[in-house]
Amino acid sequence: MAEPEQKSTEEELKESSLVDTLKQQADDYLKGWQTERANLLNYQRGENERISKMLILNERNIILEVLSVVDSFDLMIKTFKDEANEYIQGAKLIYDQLVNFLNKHNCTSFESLNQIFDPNLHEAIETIEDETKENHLIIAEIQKGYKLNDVVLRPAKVKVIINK
Amino acid sequence: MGKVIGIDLGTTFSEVAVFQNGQPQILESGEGERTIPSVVALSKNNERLVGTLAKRQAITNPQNTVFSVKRFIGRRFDDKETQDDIKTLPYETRQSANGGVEIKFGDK
Repeated sequence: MAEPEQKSTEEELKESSLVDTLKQQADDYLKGWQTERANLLNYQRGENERISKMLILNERNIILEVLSVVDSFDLMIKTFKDEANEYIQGAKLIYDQLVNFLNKHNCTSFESLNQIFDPNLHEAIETIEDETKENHLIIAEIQKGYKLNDVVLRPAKVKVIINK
Repeated sequence: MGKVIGIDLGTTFSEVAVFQNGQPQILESGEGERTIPSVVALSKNNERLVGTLAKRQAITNPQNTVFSVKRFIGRRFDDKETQDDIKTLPYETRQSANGGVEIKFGDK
């Protein structure tokens, strides 16, 4: 009768050891699964951020390309002042269409003339000394500045008064 | 482990990268630029400007806009190269106590 009891204890020990091993294995699998789950969530978050950044960057780049065409129309309309000329009238219509397209995408120009120079909005390309005028006053706008979703997309290129 | 960053300090443009997920990633400035002009400036109202903003106002504030400063790193003030460079720069430089190059920036 003693032998089966001893066997039973050995079996119990084996079973207990097997349970411990399986528990350890289950814990390892759970930890591994949790780590992979966290990695997947981080990857998804990173990918979403990357895709939205890419979309914003693409929109910025397309609008910047369109702005160079808008600048050309702007320059043409400013240079040829004959408003009765039908070509100029046609150019104005196309210019207005382009401006409407920009406005639809939350892209708007901002005023620079007669404002005080601000490097957040303007890029100084020439300085003019004039003691009769306020220091850092913008006296000419060479190229219009634009904002996209209220963030500066392109600063305005300006001439600035400097009093030493 | 702490984050590892790498800085490429160029004479005209600089970049900063951070080591993330086993790969270096270049950081973007507030304006979304991956390269930043190596320019710093002190505006008339003592505001410190860095990169693109500093570059935009350079001609309105030439004495307090510092650029191409990498040329002076490791050089002595009386080196011929230093003296040649100084002639073309609008900001003020002087000899430091150990014979190197110091730049006047604002009141300092």
